[in-house]
Amino acid sequence: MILPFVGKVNVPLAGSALALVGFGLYALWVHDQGGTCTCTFYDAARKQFVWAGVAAALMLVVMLVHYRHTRPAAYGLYAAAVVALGLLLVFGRYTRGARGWFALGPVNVQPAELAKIAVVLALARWLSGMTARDLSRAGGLAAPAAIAVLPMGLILVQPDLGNAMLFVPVLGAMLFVAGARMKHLAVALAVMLAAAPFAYRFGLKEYQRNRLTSFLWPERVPRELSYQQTQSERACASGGTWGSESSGYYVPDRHTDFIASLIAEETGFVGASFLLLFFAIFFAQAVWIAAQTRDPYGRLVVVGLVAFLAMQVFVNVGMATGVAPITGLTLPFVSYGGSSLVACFLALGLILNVSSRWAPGFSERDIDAGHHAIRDLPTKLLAS
Amino acid sequence: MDRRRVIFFLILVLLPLGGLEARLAYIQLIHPDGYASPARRRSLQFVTAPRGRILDAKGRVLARDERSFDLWLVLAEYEKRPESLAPFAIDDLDAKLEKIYARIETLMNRRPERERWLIYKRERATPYLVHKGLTFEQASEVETHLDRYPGCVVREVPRRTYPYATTGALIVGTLGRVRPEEARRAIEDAAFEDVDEDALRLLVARGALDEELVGRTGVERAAQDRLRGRPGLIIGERDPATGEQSWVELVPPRPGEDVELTVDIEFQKEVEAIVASMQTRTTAVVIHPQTGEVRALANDRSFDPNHFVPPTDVASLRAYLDPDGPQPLLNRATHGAFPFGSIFKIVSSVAALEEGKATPGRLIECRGQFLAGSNHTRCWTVKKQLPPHGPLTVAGALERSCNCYFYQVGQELGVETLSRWAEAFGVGVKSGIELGDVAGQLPRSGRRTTDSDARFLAIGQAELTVTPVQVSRLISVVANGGVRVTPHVVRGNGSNEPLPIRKETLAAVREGLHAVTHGEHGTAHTSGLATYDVSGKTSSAQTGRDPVTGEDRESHAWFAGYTKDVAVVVLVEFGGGGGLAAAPVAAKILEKLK
Repeated sequence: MILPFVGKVNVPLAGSALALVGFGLYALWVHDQGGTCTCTFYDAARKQFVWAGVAAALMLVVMLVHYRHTRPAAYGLYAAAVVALGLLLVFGRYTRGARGWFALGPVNVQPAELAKIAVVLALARWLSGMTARDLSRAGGLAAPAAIAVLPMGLILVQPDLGNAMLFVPVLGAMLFVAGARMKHLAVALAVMLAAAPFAYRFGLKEYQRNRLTSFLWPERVPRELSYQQTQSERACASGGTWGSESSGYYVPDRHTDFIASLIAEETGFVGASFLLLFFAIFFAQAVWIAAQTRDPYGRLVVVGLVAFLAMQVFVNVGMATGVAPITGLTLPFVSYGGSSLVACFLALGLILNVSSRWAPGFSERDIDAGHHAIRDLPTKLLAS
Repeated sequence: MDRRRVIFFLILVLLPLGGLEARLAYIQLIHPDGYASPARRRSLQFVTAPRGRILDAKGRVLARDERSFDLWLVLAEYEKRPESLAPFAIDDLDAKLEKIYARIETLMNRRPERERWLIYKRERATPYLVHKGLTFEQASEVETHLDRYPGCVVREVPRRTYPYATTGALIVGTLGRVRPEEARRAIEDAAFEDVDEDALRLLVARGALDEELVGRTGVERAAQDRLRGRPGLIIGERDPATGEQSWVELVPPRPGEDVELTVDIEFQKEVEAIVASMQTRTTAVVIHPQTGEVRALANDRSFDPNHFVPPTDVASLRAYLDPDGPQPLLNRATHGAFPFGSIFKIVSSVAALEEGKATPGRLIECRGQFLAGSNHTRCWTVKKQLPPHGPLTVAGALERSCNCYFYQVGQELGVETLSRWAEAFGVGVKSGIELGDVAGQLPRSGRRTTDSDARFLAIGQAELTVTPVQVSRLISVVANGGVRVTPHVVRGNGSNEPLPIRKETLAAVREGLHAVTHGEHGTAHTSGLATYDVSGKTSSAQTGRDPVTGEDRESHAWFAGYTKDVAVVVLVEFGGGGGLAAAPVAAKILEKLK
């Protein structure tokens, strides 16, 4: 079957994503060879390769259907995601003190990764259906906030602080782009900043506090708590300009959360810079697509997905280089792990979909609110 | 409006990426040395810290570190003349060398191909431990004729010795090889300043700590943290030009603390001798009832902790571990849970008096059997064809160990109340002794229990098993006036907890226990205990049939008693009646204390 939009695939976007996957595979492959760690896996790269194939196939499926068909389905997907997150708390597999995984036969599924996409779709549908007047009132922001907070709360009690916190900037970005007033966003930000110390004191578990403290005041906490981060920084530093063979620094969780340190060590400053460059291209292209499209739903979907991916990149690379606290966030397209990879490719599929369906036309809001002449225009265009 | 915001959003996304790039540039290009560790090219060696001594109550040394010599080999040198070590006749030298080669290979294989040769060279120039326990003559031979023994390095290390050997071995305990994760933890605890963690890890990977010993049982384990001290470090620096190693720095080892026990080893020896002279398995616990200090704790068999120190005596260890042998490593006083019997009536008495089910003067008549609904249970007099006990006070019931009296109060109290009091006395719960112990078994509420369960529990028979140390705790409560002590062997480890027991209650129970040894009907009045100012209680715990032969077995004979300053518990397994078998042993022990 020849894809009808094959000529319209945004090559820089897809290309940079594939380059990032390549980076991840290379890092895992070298990691498997070198064996600075005595992990139990020897074929992480091969597994990751298979997962990339699966994820790419799923992405193509997502691209086949016009993305606007996701709009009516958005609330359904959202409900399914919330139910899955709820069930997770009951039936989920316990790993490292958190219930974040479903064991489905041979694979473990992390619903939080997929829930992110569902939340973006639901938010995009809600926001794109709002009138400009509603958006400009503080009360109008309550519903979108509620949409984001429900799954966020469910992820928070797993407990997975890192993933839950992602929802805040994503919601902010989508409200911002949808056209909420700056004043409201500023007030919300101020309230959250003011609440942060209380959340730190009463809302966090001991280990979570330790991670934050060890990041903010490394000299105040016992050494084993800041160990992971220090080792990661040292590993990065030993990479130098061009990278080096494994220096023997042992970084726990290297192939998943700390894969950035692996890349920085093996490929040096040059390689790591390329890594960031590919992310920059990816985000620039995606946001450019959002700017180009005139359909508010599509635009919001792209902005929401970009916000999620970008936040993960900041936090993940930040923690590997010692400028962000340790969380369990993966590096999109690069980290080892099927759920993460599939979610990233689904997001990529959606963004490419929005890009390839771009047509000079009118936004839904124009049509809904517009003159009958405008309303009839698409029909005329199609007929001609 | 919308599009401007989208562009602004793009800037928000790209700015942090720029920041991360700057950070990478900082740590990888501008300032990489700040992150590489200062001690990277140094090499390290451990210096074992001497363990603290274990002293008895009078300061006699039960365990100490003696000077001993280890032989280390630098392979590259040694291989020039491997026959040089032949006169020393070291066991399994080849096997040990084999192991070292394997270890070096592992270290090499972790590195990329082109580094392997360097690792190989470096490791062959590093001393590896091959033998422990060189004699002084051998050590001085090597030290004085270094040219004859190329690659041999002698290091003086402490070696654990136990001068009293088998005496008190169950208390003193044993050492064993460190496990890798314990070694790692020890290194982390030691928290060496300014020492590269990767260098330490390499040291551990070489096996530098494999020969370390840690406490595995007894006080050696319980006081491990105090006894251990902290290993020292020799930090060497290699001159890159000449390749010569110079030892530049020393973190001195910090010796472990001494630990003082509550046990008098001479008394312990006498108690062990008394216990060992018995025909069947026998255990005795002697503690100070006011403080819980253990004065002696003896099984009839013991072992020699010296056999556990490398070079280990494999044949002896095998005999110790033989499941069909006497199993001397099992401390029956703390880890043996046995059926209990009548001594539990002390708990039942206190419970009855405190819960208002009896007064010191209340009489309950024993008619030789106790009728409850359709079934009836008998007092022990029936089997021995003696007349029934008749009406008894609580003191009289304790003196004669009357079952009917306690069937009655047990039925009135119920399992829940009884087991609550049992726990208060430390029955069926871990005693907290540093040697570690088991909880035994106590029927608790929370499942369906019947009156019949309550009656049997009241005479100590139901599903009740206890350790001798628990019994010493129980009897101490009576002896010291209602305080539950924590039996302990390391001086200063005790902790007391007063129980809510009235004076009248204790007086009544004490009267009964005094009569057990002194009264004419007392179950232990023929045991020779009457000459000592001792009160106590006997117990003959039914043991059921032998699972192999199907014959009825003798009861476990228990005696628990106290004088002003000691509480004694004796258990003679399958010894028969408590008054006949166990009480005389207690008398012999008290004789030694005179």
